[in-house]
Amino acid sequence: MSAGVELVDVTKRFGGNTIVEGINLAAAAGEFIVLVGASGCGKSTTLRMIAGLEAVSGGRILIGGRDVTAARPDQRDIAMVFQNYALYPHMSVAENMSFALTLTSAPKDEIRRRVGEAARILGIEDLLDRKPRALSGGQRQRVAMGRAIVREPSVFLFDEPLSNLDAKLRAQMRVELALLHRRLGKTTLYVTHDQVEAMTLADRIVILERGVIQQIGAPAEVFNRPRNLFVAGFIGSPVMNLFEGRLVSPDTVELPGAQVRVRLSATISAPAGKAVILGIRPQGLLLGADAGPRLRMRVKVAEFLGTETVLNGTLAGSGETLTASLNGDHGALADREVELAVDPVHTHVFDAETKLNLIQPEKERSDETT
Amino acid sequence: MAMTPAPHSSARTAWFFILPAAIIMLAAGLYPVISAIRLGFYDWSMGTPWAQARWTGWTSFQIVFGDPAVWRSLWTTLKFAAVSVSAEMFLGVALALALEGNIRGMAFFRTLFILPMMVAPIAVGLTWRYLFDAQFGPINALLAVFGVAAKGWLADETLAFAAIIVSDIWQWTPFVFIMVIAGLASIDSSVLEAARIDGARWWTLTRRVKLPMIAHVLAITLVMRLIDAFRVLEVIYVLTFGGPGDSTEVLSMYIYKTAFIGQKLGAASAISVLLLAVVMFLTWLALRMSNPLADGENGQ
Repeated sequence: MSAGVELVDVTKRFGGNTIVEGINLAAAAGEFIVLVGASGCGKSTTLRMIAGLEAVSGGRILIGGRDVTAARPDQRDIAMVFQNYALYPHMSVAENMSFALTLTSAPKDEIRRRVGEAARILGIEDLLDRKPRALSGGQRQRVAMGRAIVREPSVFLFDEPLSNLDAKLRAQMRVELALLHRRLGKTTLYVTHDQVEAMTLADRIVILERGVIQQIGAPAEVFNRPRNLFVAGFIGSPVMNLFEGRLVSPDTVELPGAQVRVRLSATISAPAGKAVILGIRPQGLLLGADAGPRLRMRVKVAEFLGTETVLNGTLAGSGETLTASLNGDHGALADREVELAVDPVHTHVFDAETKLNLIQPEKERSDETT
Repeated sequence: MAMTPAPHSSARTAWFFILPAAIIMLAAGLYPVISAIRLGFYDWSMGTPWAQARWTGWTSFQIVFGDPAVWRSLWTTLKFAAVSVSAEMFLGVALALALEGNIRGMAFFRTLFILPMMVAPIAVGLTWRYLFDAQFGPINALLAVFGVAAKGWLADETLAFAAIIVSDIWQWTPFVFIMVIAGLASIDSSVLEAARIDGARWWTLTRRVKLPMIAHVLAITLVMRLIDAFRVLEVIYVLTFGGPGDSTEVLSMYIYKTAFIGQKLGAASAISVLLLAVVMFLTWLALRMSNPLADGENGQ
């Protein structure tokens, strides 16, 4: 059975430092939530508080509607997969997977059945007699997941489970994790600093900075409608281009350094002349488009990645860093100056003071008009 | 032109660097052992030139192995080592488990606790001799407070044996403590957290996770303590000199008496070979149980 997880004003302080500040989050039963943020943002601490490995300094944690704030880790009906696998080195794979069940005095037949089933799901049936030291990184991670599955918990917690794997294996395990979640349908809270994992696995992403939630939303939502400058800079690869500018009309921003005016995809209800930060996704810069104003880019490095080319350089006039992601092979553009048109769909405008996105989400805008 | 050294050349370079250390190790480790064994084949006493030492072949070994006193002292050594090392291992592990947490002031307490290990064994012997003194010793004085009659600790065979064990435990439990606390500190904390999530409480966590994970540390500690317990001399020399009777006469004490009182260095060397064989056998046995030199059990 799957159970929802609810955090109500959860806070964590170490001495005088506040690591997590008043987090409110409700994960529905069966939902895959990814907590993402830079190192030290409090995402792992939040997960550890849900697991019961860290005491909360304030607030409540509910799992399946039951208040587990003061409950021991084993009483929370959760299982956790750690970054470094945390396998018992002196036990075989089968013993690792069955350890929790042996502590509950489960019948031997039942333990054997559950271990066998989990091993079959993860394709590790041949490894059951081996010790962890005789396994590769990917196999160890599978065993760690197997140990979690065997317990048949209501909630799975993953703490950067793929960080120790190489890029190829990480991509493979990511797919397996997605399939596993679809198969088991258990509520999953997953911590990572890798936005690719966040974007591909999550039903909803929670972006944290300095212990505060910056935005909660579906992957497409946080990518297309970043709530603030931090989310805009954190989600998306290559990272969003950000330029200081000012609003000259409700749908136009001028970049004084580059002496260019950029049209937006929406109108903004702010006075003309307001200082703003214009964000343009690298994918929103187009080579050879006919209409509209152009940004002149001095290309320093052109990285051909197979299906696209990432141009790294500076904006002519202001010298600000500029990155463009173009379809196809444009390796020949290195060390040249190019003109790039801006696709308004990929533009974002942030208040220079509050750092909040000034382009209102569709729903809110339609609310305003009614 | 780039030069790629041939494999045999790099092996020779490796030997060149390793050889000095290897020679020193062999000289410092193997030479005394070989000398001790060689001495067993000669009749030689202190003060006579080595050139006058008489080759006796296996005679010393035959005499020694037929001597009941040798086997009696070996038995005393075995009893001493078994009781003291068992107690030290148990107490050391228990204390390390109790004091491993990050409690305020614990660092000071840990330092205080390992002080006995730093005291010279002769001083330990003298201290305990005073403590166990039948007339002036604080132990009897303390017992008198509770109405217990004074005991001749070092005059009674059983009590004297207990006394040397107590002094050994007092001095060497800290060694076990340090080793175990270092071992516990090296355990990956996430493994312990995984065990907590799995439902392991303190006792299960200790018995099924922590202790098996430091089995290699326990094995090496046990070997080191056994080797030391079999070679113990100074404390017993000062405390009881093997008495009363021969109740505390461990093998090394008997070797000492044979060599320096009996002036039979050949026979003493022959007994040393016996001691060496016993210690090597026990070391092999302990390492077979959990070899710290084999690939890391703890390795993730």
